[in-house]
Amino acid sequence: MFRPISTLPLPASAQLLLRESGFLFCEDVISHRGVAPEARSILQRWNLHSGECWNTLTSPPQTLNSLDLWQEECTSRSIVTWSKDVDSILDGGIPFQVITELCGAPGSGKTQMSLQLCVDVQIPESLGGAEGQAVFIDTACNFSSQRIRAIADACCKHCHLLSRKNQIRDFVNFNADSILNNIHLISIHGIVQLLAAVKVLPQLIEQHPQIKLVVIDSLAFPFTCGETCNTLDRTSYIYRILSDLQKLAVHNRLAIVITNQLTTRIIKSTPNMSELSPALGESLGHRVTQRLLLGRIAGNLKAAIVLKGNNQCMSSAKFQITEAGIRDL
Amino acid sequence: MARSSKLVNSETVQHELDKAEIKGPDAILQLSDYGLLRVGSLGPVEINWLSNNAAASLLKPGFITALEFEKQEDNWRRVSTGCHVIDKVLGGGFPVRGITELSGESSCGKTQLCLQLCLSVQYPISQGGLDAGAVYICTEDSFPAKRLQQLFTTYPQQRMSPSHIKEDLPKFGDNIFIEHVADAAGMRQCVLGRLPKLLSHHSVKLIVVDSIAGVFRSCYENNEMKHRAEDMRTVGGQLHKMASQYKLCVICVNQVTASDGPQRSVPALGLAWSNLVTSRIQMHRSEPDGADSASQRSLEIIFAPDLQPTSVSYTISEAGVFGLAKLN
Repeated sequence: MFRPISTLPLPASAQLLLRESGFLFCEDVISHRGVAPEARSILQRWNLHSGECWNTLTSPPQTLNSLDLWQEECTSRSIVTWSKDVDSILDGGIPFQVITELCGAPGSGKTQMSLQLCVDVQIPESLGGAEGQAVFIDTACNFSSQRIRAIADACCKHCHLLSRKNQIRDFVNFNADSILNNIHLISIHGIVQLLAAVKVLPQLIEQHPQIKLVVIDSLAFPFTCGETCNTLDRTSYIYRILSDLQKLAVHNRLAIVITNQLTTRIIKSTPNMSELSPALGESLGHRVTQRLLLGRIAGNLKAAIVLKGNNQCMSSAKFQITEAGIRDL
Repeated sequence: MARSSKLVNSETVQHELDKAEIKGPDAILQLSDYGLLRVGSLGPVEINWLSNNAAASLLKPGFITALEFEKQEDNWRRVSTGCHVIDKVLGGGFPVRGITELSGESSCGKTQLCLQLCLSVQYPISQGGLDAGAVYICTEDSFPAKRLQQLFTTYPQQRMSPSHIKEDLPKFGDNIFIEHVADAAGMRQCVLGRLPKLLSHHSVKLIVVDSIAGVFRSCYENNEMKHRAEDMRTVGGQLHKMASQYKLCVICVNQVTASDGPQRSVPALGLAWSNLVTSRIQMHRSEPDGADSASQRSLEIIFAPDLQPTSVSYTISEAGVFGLAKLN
């Protein structure tokens, strides 16, 4: 089975030149003698003429067997939400290497949960945490330094207590200031800036390899606010954002959390009937690995329901939001 | 970045972009990497360099840490209500961020509180104001000018330095810009056209829309709900944009609608609107228990990114809306 040239990520004019010179398949270009001289002269313009470059273009990804993956999954820890009940329906917390969507009506605790996770990802390894850094992409002006400091203070207090109890040393550098210093924040307005922020993420992660969590709060806001954007474009932008994030997640072992709004969907078959469903269409539900619906029961009392997940079917838990952050009842 | 920029001839890249009529970083980012490959003879290295540069140029100042963010003074600045009891519940006053919704039954004091803020915002920053004017967009009744005139004389006397206010007294009225809007089309024209012009000429730090339900609740038929949601997003999005661009406080007054849930009344306009709201504050008024007691009023925070849901009771006097300190 030969691989056609047109499947390669090559510029349109390079494709045309190669086709005109009679190169239709990858196997025409490269043989055991290296890259064919004619193709070489064409590809020189894009610095792709060496056999090495060509191989990276065409080589399939490395294969892994499911035993390796299973072992990796068993050893990797999740980010705790600081509520045991919520953690248990998520099989331990927010997992790494996948995209988790938090959806819910306004006031259901999406932002609070996101802020909590930004702090929790930094829990030191000696206490079972990931000791990572976090990125917070704020699209709706929701990031509050006051809240994050309160949550960080409470987390530090708890961790210091634990470390004293278990006599763990080298704990000096873990304080609220260091937690805030390890959260990389960007405030963006509009769809294009969101695309740009996702684009520069790999560079940021290269500079700060400790980053273990990326939060977008909220993914829906730029799309449902202001600029009108047709559904086709919207789906393509969202898929691009999510596939870029997914690549990063797998490659750098990150956890990705996106928040989403709920929207009222009108059911056409029965007049005057409507139901609530997550915004941004059905397509988003296919793309995310895990979907957690948050809801407000009364005041600070909230509920979480797993709508989609690999490990468990529909299950729910209650939690509350206190001054110190997400807590069990 | 530095390594790849050596490999890229920026002139040829620019030439290719001109040929394909791709102008500016926005257009570059809207195309995917595969879309850019299809443009012409841009190679993967050049595309990577191009889109990274485009992204960086759109993201000034880029990523900052939360610690740096905390130190920026103008984030989460607040407009004091002039009453320290209400201010305490609100964390210092109405936030300069996103859209704050103030909902409640009719005659519970929404407009009173907004008028009070129109004065309060004109105070210097040291006294809880923002040292700037206000815009008041009326959609329901005509602007309560008489009440405002009354507040000019009664309200400021509660504040700290009367001598300072005495000489400034006539200026209060000059810094409140009033607009009457009757329908959704007028609202769009106002926030998309006239308001940005006004903001570029005058120092304004408070926009009050009294009320948002006035335009969006009445002008639509039942089968036009999708249309209504789109219009609300346009107006809400523009208000958000102005709030962050000019660092001003946006307050949208909303009506309430009866509900069969645990609460008797919920803010009107449904999810399409509440998804646009950053902080939601509701005012309640309950009927008096007996003939001799006055009606109970309370102000409740339903949700806000930085506040706990709490409530405080208040009264309305000649001097404005004032909270009642809890007795226990």
